[in-house]
Amino acid sequence: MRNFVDFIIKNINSIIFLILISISISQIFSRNYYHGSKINLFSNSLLNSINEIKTELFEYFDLVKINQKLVIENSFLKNNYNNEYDYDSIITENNYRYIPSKVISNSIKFSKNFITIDKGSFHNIEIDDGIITNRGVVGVINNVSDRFATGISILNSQLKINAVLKKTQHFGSLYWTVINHQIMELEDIPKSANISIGDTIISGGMSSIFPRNIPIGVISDFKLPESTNYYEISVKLFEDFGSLRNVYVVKNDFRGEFNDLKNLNE
Amino acid sequence: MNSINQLLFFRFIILSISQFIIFNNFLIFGNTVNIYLIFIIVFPLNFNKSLAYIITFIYGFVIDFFSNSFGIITFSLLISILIKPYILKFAFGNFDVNKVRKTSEYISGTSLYQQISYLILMFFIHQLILNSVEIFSLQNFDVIFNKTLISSIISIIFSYFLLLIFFRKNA
Repeated sequence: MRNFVDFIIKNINSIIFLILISISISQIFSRNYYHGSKINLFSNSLLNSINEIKTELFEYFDLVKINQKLVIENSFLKNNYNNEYDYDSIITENNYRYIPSKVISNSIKFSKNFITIDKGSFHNIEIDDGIITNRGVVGVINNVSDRFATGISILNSQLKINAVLKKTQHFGSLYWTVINHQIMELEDIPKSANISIGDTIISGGMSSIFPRNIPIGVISDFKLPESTNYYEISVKLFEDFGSLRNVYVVKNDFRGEFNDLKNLNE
Repeated sequence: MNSINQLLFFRFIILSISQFIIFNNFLIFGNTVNIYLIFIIVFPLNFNKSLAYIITFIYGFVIDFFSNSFGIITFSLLISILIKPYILKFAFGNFDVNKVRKTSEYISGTSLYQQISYLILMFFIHQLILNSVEIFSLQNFDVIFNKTLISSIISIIFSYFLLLIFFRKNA
């Protein structure tokens, strides 16, 4: 303690100078907006780089967990693939490729909604590729730039997509009625289909844009108008379009061949 | 209150008031004339260091307050008073500093060149620190240098005449 006091008495000038200069420096950075923002910018960039290193380091330690997750996902995919193979040995989904991407902008409040993603022609994305998530169909690409692409959302009154009743395999057209962003209408399902509330609707895979068997939603309501033979069905979507983040762009490698063949008949 | 303390008190009041009433209000080539540094230039030699730092801090704080440059002038004045003894030594060579005395008593016998070089060094270093802290960006070093040069020259001319008129005997 005595040494400490001696030290202070000996260096009192320097200590006072340091205290005063630090007060003035703190004044400079706290009261001047420009200096404050500059020092903020510097400390933020320093903090970000430290965080990045930290994340990289911890990611390495988390590899065991990630591996376990991948094993589970792999076994799940393998099982599903085998089921599909047993079910129909001719049509397989091998001609579809999936490109993961992120949603940059999305809207649900207009009658014609569009969606923008962060992949473009550099990533092999072309017009008429489909956009899906694991919980449903999202839309169709309509414009592509180098690094970005826009798509017509299925919440667009001009778009109709092919959908199938999972239980009976009756197919119809799914379109949006602009009223509610979670409800779509399914038409052209004949009276003979024995439907009930809660039945699952999946994608039909007849358009060469989307593969078959992507879940879309469940029947929430239906009615049979007297004068027609077709149901009017309301479908509640699985995917919440209000919180769309990660999507897959799905490419059909044989779409050109498929469309050429189709055009021969028309 | 002895004569040196009285002198310090009056200089404090007069220099700070004249700085923010008169010299802060006219710009020459976009630069203000910083005569407040005279307070440091003629600060008594061999004064108690801690007290000198505290007086300088309060002086800088007052001028900062009226110039809307929070902390910048205080910072550069503190650095100036810290390096003042070294500049004195550089400009005038070694001399006996055993007593608290006015600067004029020490530099009365020195040549004009020595006095001018002392003024130039003090002002240039002070303005360089001031402008560097104010602009706070290495990319704009040319701006800092230009501003430092112009404001130093203007301030030196004004301060030299003020020193000649008011501080010749009492510095």
